This record gives sequence, C-alpha cells and structure tokens, in this order.
Amino acid sequence: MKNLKLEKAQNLEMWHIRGAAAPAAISSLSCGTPEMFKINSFGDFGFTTATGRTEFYLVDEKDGSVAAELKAKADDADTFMFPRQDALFVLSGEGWKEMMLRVSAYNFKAANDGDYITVNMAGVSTWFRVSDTDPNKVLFGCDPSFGHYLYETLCDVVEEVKAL
Amino acid sequence: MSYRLQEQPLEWIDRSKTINIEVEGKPARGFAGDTITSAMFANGDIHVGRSFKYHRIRGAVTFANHDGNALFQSSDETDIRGDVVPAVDGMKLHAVNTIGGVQNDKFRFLGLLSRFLVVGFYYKGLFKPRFMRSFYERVIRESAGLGKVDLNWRNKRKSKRYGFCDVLVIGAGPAGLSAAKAAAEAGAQVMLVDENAHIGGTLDYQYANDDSVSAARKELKEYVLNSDNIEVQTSAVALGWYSDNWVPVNTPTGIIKVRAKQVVMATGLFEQPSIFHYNDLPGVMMASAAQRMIARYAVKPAEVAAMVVANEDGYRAALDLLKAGVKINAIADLEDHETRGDLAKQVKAQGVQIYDRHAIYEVEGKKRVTSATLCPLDSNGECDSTRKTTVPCDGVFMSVGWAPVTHLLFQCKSDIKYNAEIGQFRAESMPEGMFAAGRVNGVFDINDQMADGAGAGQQAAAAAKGETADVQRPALTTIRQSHEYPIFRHPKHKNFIDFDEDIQLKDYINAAKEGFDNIELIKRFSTNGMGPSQGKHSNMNGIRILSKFTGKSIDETGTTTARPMFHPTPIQHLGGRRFRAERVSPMQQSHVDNKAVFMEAGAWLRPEYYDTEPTRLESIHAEAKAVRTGLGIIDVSTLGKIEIFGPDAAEMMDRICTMRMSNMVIGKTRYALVVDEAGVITDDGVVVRYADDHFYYTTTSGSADPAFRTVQKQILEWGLKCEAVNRTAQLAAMNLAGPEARNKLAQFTDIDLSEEAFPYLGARTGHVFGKPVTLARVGFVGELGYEIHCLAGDAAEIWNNLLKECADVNIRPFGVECQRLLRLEKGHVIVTQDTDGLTNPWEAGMPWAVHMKKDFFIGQRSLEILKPLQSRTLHGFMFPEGFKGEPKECHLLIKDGELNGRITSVSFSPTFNRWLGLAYVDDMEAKIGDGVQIRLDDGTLVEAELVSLPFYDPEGKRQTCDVDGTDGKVA
Repeated sequence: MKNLKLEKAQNLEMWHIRGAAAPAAISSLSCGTPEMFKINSFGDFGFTTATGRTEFYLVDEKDGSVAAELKAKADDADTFMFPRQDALFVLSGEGWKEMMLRVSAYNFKAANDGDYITVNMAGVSTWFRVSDTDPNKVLFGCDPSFGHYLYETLCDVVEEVKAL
Repeated sequence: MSYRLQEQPLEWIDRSKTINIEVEGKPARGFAGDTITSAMFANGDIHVGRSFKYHRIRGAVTFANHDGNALFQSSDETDIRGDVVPAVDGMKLHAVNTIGGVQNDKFRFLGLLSRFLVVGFYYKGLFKPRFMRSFYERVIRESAGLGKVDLNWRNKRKSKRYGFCDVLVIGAGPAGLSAAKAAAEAGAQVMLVDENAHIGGTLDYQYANDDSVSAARKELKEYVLNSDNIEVQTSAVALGWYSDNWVPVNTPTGIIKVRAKQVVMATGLFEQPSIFHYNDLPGVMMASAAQRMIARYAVKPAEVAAMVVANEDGYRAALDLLKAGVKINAIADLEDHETRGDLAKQVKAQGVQIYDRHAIYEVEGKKRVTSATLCPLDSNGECDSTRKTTVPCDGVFMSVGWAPVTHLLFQCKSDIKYNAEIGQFRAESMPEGMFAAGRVNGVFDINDQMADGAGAGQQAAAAAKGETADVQRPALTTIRQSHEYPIFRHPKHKNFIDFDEDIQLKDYINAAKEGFDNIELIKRFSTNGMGPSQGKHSNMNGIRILSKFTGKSIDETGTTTARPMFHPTPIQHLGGRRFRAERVSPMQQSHVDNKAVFMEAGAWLRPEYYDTEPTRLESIHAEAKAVRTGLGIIDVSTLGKIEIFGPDAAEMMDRICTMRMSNMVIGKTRYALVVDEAGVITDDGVVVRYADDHFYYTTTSGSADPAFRTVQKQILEWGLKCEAVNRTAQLAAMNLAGPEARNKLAQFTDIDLSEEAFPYLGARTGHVFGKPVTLARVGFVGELGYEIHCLAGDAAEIWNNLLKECADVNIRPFGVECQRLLRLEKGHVIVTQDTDGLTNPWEAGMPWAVHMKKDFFIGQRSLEILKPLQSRTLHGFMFPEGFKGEPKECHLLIKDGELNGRITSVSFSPTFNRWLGLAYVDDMEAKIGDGVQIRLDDGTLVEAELVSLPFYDPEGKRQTCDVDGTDGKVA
C-alpha cells in the first residue's frame, strides 16, 4: 500500500441533469444511456450515470465535448442542467480498497468495475466511480462544503495505511 | 531462582531476544514473547498483585486473560493484564490496588477485618450516622477502583476499520482451525480470530506433548496460515455479537467491525476452580494455567505439586507437569481415577499417589502454598475433615471442570441449556447463520473436536452461498467433564468463589439467605462476577451454589446476562479515529486570513466575528458600525438553497409556504415562512421567482436538509408535476449591506442596480466580476443590501474582489454575532432562537406572513384553530439608557410574582446606546409603552419598556430608498 495516493481531481466539471426530457437528452449522447447506478465512461474520468428516472450525472473534462453536446440538447424545455461543484478526488494505488475499509462501511471488494456507488465515508455522503479500465484508481466526489474536511481526513488515513 | 525450562517444542518465546522489565523496582529478565507474568514467574517472582477487597497477596490463576489480580500500572496506562500482555523491553510497572507495593501493602491488614466486611457491608453499616455518609462515601470511593488514570492523558486513538467475510471463525483451537480450513476449502472467504498471540489453542498446550495430534496440528496450521482464503487475526478478541452477524473484533491496532455472512463459534472453555480454604494462595492455579506456562513460556509452575482433578484433562496436565520436572505429591480425584482412562493409569504408573473420592480441603502457607490437605468426601460430597492427609507442595493445580465460553452464543440468542451429562451449558439450537463447534459445543475428544469444527466450517461455507451441506457432526461426549459441585465448606472460610472481588463461599450463601435468591440479584448484591474478569472463573460456581441453596436445577437457576464487551476494551479503541464531518464555505480561507473567530452552526463553521479590535464586543460593534454607515459583507453560504421547477412549481410553493407564492412576479423575491402540520414555525427564508415554472427557495442554515426532504416528500405525496434540487453547497452566497452597497457593487456588475430597474425585493441574474450570479435585494440587517448567489467555485473570487475593490469605503466582513445584533435592531425574528417548538406565526407577530385565504398550505387548518387561542405575543423591549445590568436570553418576565414570559433575544445596541431585545409576553393586554419586569441571574427584578418593532428604521427607508454613499443618511 506504499503507492497509495490521494489527489484533488483537476480539470473536471460535473453536471446534474434533471427534468422530464432528461432521459431523451442523455440517450442522444454519443456515449449512450447509462443503466441505473452504472457508468457509461469516456476519456480518463468522464462518465454519465443514472441515479433516477429523470436524474443523471455527467462528469466531463472542463469545457468537454460531451457536456457541450448535452448543453445544446438541454436548451429544449424540460431538461435542466445544474452545474455541480462537488469536491472531486482521485485515489490510486493497489491498496485503495483496503484503505476504504477504514473510512467506509461499504465493502469495495464487492464492487464491480463500472459501478456508480453512493456511500457514507468518514461521515460524509460521497459517490464513487469505480473504474472499468483501471482497478487501481477510483474517482469520487462529495458536497463541496465537506471537501476540505474529507481531504484532510483522508490524507491522514492514507499516511496511516502507508505506514503499515 | 530461575523457573525457566529447557526449550519446549511449541513455545512462544524467542530465546534469541532478551528483554528486561522492572516490576515494583525488581528487575525481571525474560524473552520476547513472554507476558509480564511469565517473565516474573521465570525469575521466581510469583506475587503479581493484591486482591481488591482484603488486599490478599495473589499469584497467577488462569494465564488466560482473566487473572483479575494480575493488573499492572505503567506511567501512562493502567489495568495492564499481566497474564496476557507481552513484556516489552524497558517496561516499568507496579501492581494496582496497593499502597506500598505488593509485598508491603499497607492495606494488607484488611483481611483481619474480613468478618466485618461482609457482602454489602456498606449498605448495612455505613448509613448511620447520617452526617458520616459523605465521609464513608469518600473512603469507599478512594478504596474502590483499580489503578490510577493519568490525568495528564494524551488523546490516543486507534483507528477502526471494517471487515467482511463469508465465514467468521472465532477461536483458533482445534475446532476453529478445522472450521476455517473446511470453509476455505469450500471456497468461502474466511476470517479467523483468536485472542491469543498464536493460533493453535489447546493443541499447543493441552496436547503439546501428545504425538498423536502432531500431524493434524502441522497440517491445520500450515493450511490456515498459507491460505489466500483465510485472514488470520491473532491477539484479536471478538467483543460481542450484534444483529446480522456484526462482530467487533478488537486487535492491537484497533477494532475491526466485521460483517460476516456466517459465524462459527469455536470459543472453547474456561477452566473453573475448586473452592477450598485458601484457594487463593499464590501457587494455586488452574491445571490449564500450568500447562500454558510450560508449553508457551517454558516456565516451571512449581517444584512440588498437589492436584485436585475431576476429569481426564487433569491427568493430562499431571503428565505435562511430570514431564516438566514437577514432582506431584498427591492427586485428589473427586471421583474415581479408574474412570479417567489411560491417562490416569500413566500418571499412576509414574508413582504418583492418587486419592480417589478426595478433595483438597485446605492449603497452608503465608505468601505461597507450602502444603495441601486432602480429605475424603462423604456421601453428601462434603469433606470429612476428621481424616486429613497433608502433603508438602509449592503448587496446587485444579482441574475440576469447565465453563463454556458462551458469551457470544447468548448474545445471538442461542437456545442454551445445561447439559447434566457433560456438566456444562450448551447451545441446544443455534440461530440462522451461526454455528458452534468443539468443546463449547460439548464435543471433547480431540479428533472429534477437529471433525466438529470441519463440519461446522462446511456448513457455514455452504450457508454463505445460500446452500445447505449434508454433514454428519460428531456426537457429544458422554463423559462428564465438570464436577457438579467442586465446592467445599471450611469453618475458617477464606474459600473464595471470586478472586477478583474476594467473594467467599459464606458471603454468597449469606446473600442467598438474605433473600437474594435470583442469579441476577445475587450477582449485584454480592458482586460475584463483577470484577475485571467478569465472572469467567466465578459465575459457574455461583450458579451451582445458588442452585443447591434454592433446591432448583441449574437451568431453573439460570445464568447472568453476558453483555459485550467480552474483555475490557480501551476507550481509545472504542473511540476510533474521530470522524467529525465539518462544512466550510468557499470563502473559508479569506475568513481565516481576516482573523475570523469561528463558531459551529450545525456541521458548518461560520465566522462568529472577526478579531480586529481589542475585545470581542468591540469587534462586533465595529462590524455593526461599518454596515450601518459604510459597507459590510457577510458570508451566508450556509443558507439552504433549493430549486423547484416544473409546471406545478408555483402550486408546490403555495402549499409549502404560508404566504401566497403563485402570484409572485418573475424577478421578485418574497419572504417565505414555513410551518408544520401543527402550525408551528419551522423555517423561514426567501423565495425568488425565476420563471413561471421555476423558483429558487432559501432556507435557514440548519433547515436545508429537512426542508429539502419535506419538499421531495410532498412532491411525491401530492403527485405534483415538479422537481426539486438541493443546491445548498453547490452555490455560495454573500450579503453586501450598507449605504455604500449600490454604489460599489454597480462598478462590478452588468446588472442595472438603479432603484427603478432593481427595486427592493427584486431579484436579477447577471454577472459580478464576470461570474454568473443571482442578486436578490433583500435585507436581513436593515440596510440597503444585495444577496449575491453564485457557483461555489466562483464565490471566493467574488468575495475577495469585493473586499479588495471596496477597501476605499472601509468594507468590513461581518460575522454571525453582528448579523444577530443588526437584525435584532431591525426586529427580525430568527427561527429557533425567537421561536420554540410550539411557536406559531400569530404569537411571533407575523400574521402578515400568513395568507389564510389560500386554498391550502401545510398547517393552515391548525393556524385557523390556533388564532383565537393565542396566549402570548412577541414584543420588543428596551432598557433605559444607562442600565447597568446584564440581561440574557431566557431571562424570565415576572408580573405580580408570576411568570409573564421570557426573553428570546437581547443585546446591547451601539446604535441606540442601550439594551434592547425581544420577549414573549404572556399578558395579552400588554401594549407598547407598558413596563415589564425582568428577573436577572442574581434574582433582581429590573424594569424595561415595551416598544414597537422594528427598533431601527421603522419606515424601512434605508432598505427601500436611495441612500447616499457617505454618511448613511437617507437621500
């Protein structure tokens, strides 16, 4: 677990898509319609996921093409795109699932590639995009107001685990 | 004198690593792997502590983590268990509960007073005279308790972690190892936990010299330690069992919260003592303790021994002792050694004198056993003290029976009954997901134990997959392993049931005679089983004695409740890493840079004030002055922010809020008051209408989540065509307030701020410093003001730019305390401060915020009923100028000696140079100009005058009209 690393994710933007026409807008994207709590991934970290019948999340690179494509479609009525300002982190290294056992009651060893998981971690509600390409890397995010606390807390835990 | 033996085949010590410890100033040399007690014994020091009540000198009894008298203290830790805690080089220890050390304890005389210190003596003798009670209490409190807590403690925490497995096996003895192996072979992910430092259990001490199990031991250990499917946790205690197989396992590095699909409990047994005169003398111990000493630590427990046995295990122990060079002068078999099988014959063949149907009646010695006296048993099982045989010895080893480790079995609601054939409690049936295996299950033959474990492991692995395994488990033993009553009266007593609490046989019987004939009651009155070992060596004999006394069966007598934790658990382990989630706004760094003093508001950290002046109050007043005369800015990012959109959004807002929202004009704001079904005020905020079908609704900081939950729930319940998004921390907000607000903000925004284009209560979208924003012209503090709502990611830049660009008008950030003061001057209510769990809008002076003519809103019917029942009113009040008292929130209003209300908000106003506040007045006849009496902390009554609200700018010109830019005068 010596190579465990926590970084703040840079150059990503996140959107919360709602509204009656949101499913149609999402399905028209080149990356297709995601299954509920599964990710449709693109690029290093980009993905869409469905969290409700008319609720989706999109993470793309800043000024990314997928978000732009969706924005153009969302101008139609009944699709609302709210920019999300979540604190975004990338945790990488072989022992990340072991480390998570110290902060979350969720058994990440049971997670499958391509899962979109919402769990409580260190007292904060977070979402996880489990990579479908790199098992040793995970992108996760939380409410921005908890970002500072979560980063500081996880850095401590990472150091603790690395020292084992 | 060294008691260290030659190398033992399975010893735990590492003879290549010498360690030195110091106990009460006496050095002890040991090896890595020694416990504190084993290191002491190896050096000939067998006195590990003093007893709790009579301060009797004590030695090791179990070596199994329940030697309640072997507790030590280091410089920063107390109650260190000598029998199991590893000795670490350089350790300096002394025994707990002594004054002057183990050898010269000044309280050792207490034993002489034992006839006066009977069970419950403090209930019986220390309540008179009344005036002495506090003295007695102090003495008892100072005498009670073990060890001293370091008051200069450091905050130490051990991280917790979660663990998941298909099968959790508790106990790594023959049954547990076999269960783990079988489950792993069946493909299950297994966690195996054992409280000992090494796996093996009885295989490594009771059967250490039994060649017939060597191959099985080797195979089991190698498999378990090398299997990818098995995670082994040693020195790990399963602390308890909770619903759905949730088992906290305490390890040296912290607690693992294990969630297991199936649990195999191969927890084994505790050996139980025989009760005879002076059975607590150093040198008297369980036979299994002697075996542990020999096999694990290569320490000879005595030179010359006597034994009392009631099962085959006793003879196995005797053979181990003989092999270790201990001479056995006599074995008292409570029954007949001929029934003990081949082991007894082997012992006898080595010339050991065996006394059938004999017991040890008493032992002699001052600080160590010097002899043991055996007596034959009569037909009632009592010692015939007229026929004594005394043998010299320096060790007495007891093997008269066992008590199963059923704590977790009880907790998981197994059906536990006493099995008279075996002589122990046993789970007759287990709940789903649980299995018992090995000796705790009543299976004693070593090969049967392993077969039973393997069977349980197979069944558990299958059950984890939702299948069943057709496994034939071994039959229970048919040989009784525990004597039914190894307890012997003695006229001089000192025959202890509980070594932790110094409970003698007579104490227990007397307690029963006094009417405490229920097992739970007698435990609490006598304190049997309430010491550090929690009855692990005393409960079974307690049950036997009470059963005999009452004439009830063991089952009818019952057992005490076995609650978690199985062993005492350090608070630092229970506490774990601290996860105290904390929220900060995007402007946090600026607040820090500007010397903010923070306060907690729910999970949020908010600036209470900025520490810019010599005192807190001066800082707050300086901030208030800036807002009233120039420009201030406050971070209000903590406000709840909910967007509601869709065709029925207006209908939704009408139903949620007391005011009508559906007639709002696009681009306007409106005050939003929310009550619950009972008409009680729960929240307030501001609603912005973005479009016919789109509203933006702010809530109080603490109400964001509940308000959003209510909205979500009502959308579903009412079936409205609208949706809601909680954008609370996705957006940030700040309030720029003061006469300079318009002049300055206009320089940085593309929104026309003129009074005509953007009147009071208007809302506009546009940009500030190029960042997209919504501006709302609202004013909680009573000045010209603009709430700026923006993306959280843009907020810090806007905030910092405003501070920088408005420095020419001496802009000041202001905190929550200043805001509270300013809004009080303006007479604005803070929900939850000026309201309570019963306050309705009529009482709060807010009928203007309730539109009863609407078709429906939550709480409407209640408010209709409550209106004529109003019994109090929120009033403003002022103290005369120069008033010197210190009124506080919750100070009471008094009228004619009766309660007449209470203050909800009060503060000294620098604007008015006097104290002012808000208070509920019960007197419905009270009117503006009346005096009210207020009782201060010291009981004095002071008079204040009721005044109309708001105190400040009653015409509201400062918010609604043009204000010139320099002195705050209305233009």
